[in-house]
Amino acid sequence: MTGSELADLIAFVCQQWQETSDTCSLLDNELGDGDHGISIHTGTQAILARLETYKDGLPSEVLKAVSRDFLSAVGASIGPLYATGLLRMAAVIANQEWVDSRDVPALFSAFVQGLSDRGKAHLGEKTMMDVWLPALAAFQDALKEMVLLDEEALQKACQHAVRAGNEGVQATKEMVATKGRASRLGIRSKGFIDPGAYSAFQLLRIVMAKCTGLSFPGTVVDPGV
Amino acid sequence: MKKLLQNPDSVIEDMLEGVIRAYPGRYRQVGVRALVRRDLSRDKVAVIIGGGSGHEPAFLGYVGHGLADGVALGNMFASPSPDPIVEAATASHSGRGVLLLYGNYAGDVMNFEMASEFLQAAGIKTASVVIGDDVASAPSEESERRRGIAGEILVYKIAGAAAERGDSLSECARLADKAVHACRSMGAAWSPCYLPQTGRPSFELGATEMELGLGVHGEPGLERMEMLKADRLADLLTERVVRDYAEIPMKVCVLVNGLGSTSMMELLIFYRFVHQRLESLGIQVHKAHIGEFITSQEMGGCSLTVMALDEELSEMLDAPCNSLGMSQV
Repeated sequence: MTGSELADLIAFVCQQWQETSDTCSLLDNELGDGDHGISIHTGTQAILARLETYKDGLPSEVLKAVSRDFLSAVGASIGPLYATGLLRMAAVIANQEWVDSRDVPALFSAFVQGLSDRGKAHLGEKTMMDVWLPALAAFQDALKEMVLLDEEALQKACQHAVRAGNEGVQATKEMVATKGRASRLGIRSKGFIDPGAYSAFQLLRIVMAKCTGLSFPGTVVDPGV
Repeated sequence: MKKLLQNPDSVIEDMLEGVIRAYPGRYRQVGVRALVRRDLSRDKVAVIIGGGSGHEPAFLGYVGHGLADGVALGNMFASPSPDPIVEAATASHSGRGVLLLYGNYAGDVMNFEMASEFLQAAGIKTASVVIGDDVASAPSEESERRRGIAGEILVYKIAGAAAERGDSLSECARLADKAVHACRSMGAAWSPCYLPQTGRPSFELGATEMELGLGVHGEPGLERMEMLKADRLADLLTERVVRDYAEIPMKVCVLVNGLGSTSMMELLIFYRFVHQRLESLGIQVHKAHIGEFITSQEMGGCSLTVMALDEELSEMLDAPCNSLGMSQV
C-alpha cells in the first residue's frame, strides 16, 4: 500500500479503537485513575484531525507523523510507548514508497521491540506487553513452520497472533501488577484485566482483522466491569 | 457531580487562559501546554517541573523566584508529552543547563526521558531527578519504586533555592536528590475525586470508610479501613512515615497537604496531633507548611510529609521564594 492507503488504514483503526475507549476507562477505574480510555480517545482524535495533511507522504513519513501527533496529544504512558513503536516501524520501511505483506514480519517485530525498549516491561507484569510479546512470538513461530511466505502463510500467522494475544489479555486478570499505576495496589490488582492489555488486544485485533479480512470469532474479551 | 467549568474537553486550555489573564506579570506561555517565569534569569540552572493537570496548585503554581523556571502541563492526571517539557526548558535555558524534576510515575518517567533525549540532542545539558516519597507505595528496601506525592513540593523548594543562588547543574541535582531521600510521605482519603471528562468517582467508599496509602490520582491505595479520629490518623501516619527512616530524624520540616475538599480547619486539627506525636518522639519541627499543595480535584483527604533536615537542607528550605503555590520572605 502507498502512504495514502496506509493513512486510510490508520484512520479506520483509530475509529474502531476509539469505540473501545469507554470500556478502557472503566477498567482503568478499578486499577488506576480512570483515564486510559480518555487517552485513547484524545490520541486517536488528534491523529484523525491531521491525517489529511500528510497522507501524500511516504509510508514511513505517515507513521512518523502519526507517532508525533499521538505523542503530543496524549503523553501519559501509552503516548511514549506507541509513539516509539511507530517510529521503529517507520525506520524499517524508511525510503519505501510501498508497504506490502512481506514487510509485516519486520514491522511487527520492530514495533514490539520499540514498546519493550521504552517501557522496559517484561512478560507477567500485567501490562500491554502481556499481549504484544505473546502475539509476536506466536506470529513468528507460525511463520517458521511455513514453507512459503505467501498471503496464506501470513493470514495463518496473524490468526495465531490474535489467539495468543487473547490468551495474554485474559491471563492479566489473575496477575499482580508490578509496573505502572496498578502496581501500587499490590495484591488488590488481582481479579481485573489490565486496561493497557485490554486496549492493546483491541488494537491488535482491529489491525489484524483489517489486514487479513478475517473476523476472529471467539476472541471477544469480557472486561468484567 | 457539579463542577464549575465550560466544557469537559477544554478544561486545561480554559484554565491556562485563566492563569495568563489573572497573572500576566508572573507567566509567559511558550507552548500550548508550557509556561515559564516572566522574570527569567540570564545566569542560572533552569529548573523545569511538570506533571498531570488536576492537581492545582501543582504544578504551574510552583513557577517563580526560588522555585521552578518553567512547567509542562499534561492532560488530567496524565504525564505531559515531551513537547511542552522541551518548550519550557528551551525557553528558560540560559547556558547553565536544565534540571528536570518529576514524580516517579511510568508516564512521567518515559516522557521526561524522551524530552531529555531531545534536549541533549539539541546541545542542552540536562540532569534529571525523579521524586519518590510515598512510603505506602513500596517498602524501604525498594524505595526507588516509590511514587512522588506532596514531597515533590519540598524537593522543588530545595532545588529552586540552589539554582537561584547560582549553583551548578550537578550541585542542584545533588541537592534535589538529597531532598528526595530526606522526604517521607503518606496519605489517606475519605471521599473520591471526579474526572471532568467522565464524571465518575475515582472510588466508592462506605459512609464511614477511609482509604489509606493512596496517591494523588484517585487510584485505590493500600487498604480500606474505618475513618479514624484526627489523633489516631495523625499517630498512624506520623509513625509510618518516621519509622521508615533508618534513624529517627532530629529536626524536620513537616508539610500537611489537603487533597482538595478537606478544610483548613481539619488540616490544622490534624497538624495539632501530628506535632504532639513528633514532640513525644523527640523530633523538633523547624518549619511547618499546611495547606493545599498538590490536590486531586475535590478529593477529601490529606497527606503528611516529613523532610529530615541538616544544615544544608535547612538553609535551602528557609530561602525566600515567590509563587502562587508557596511564598516566603
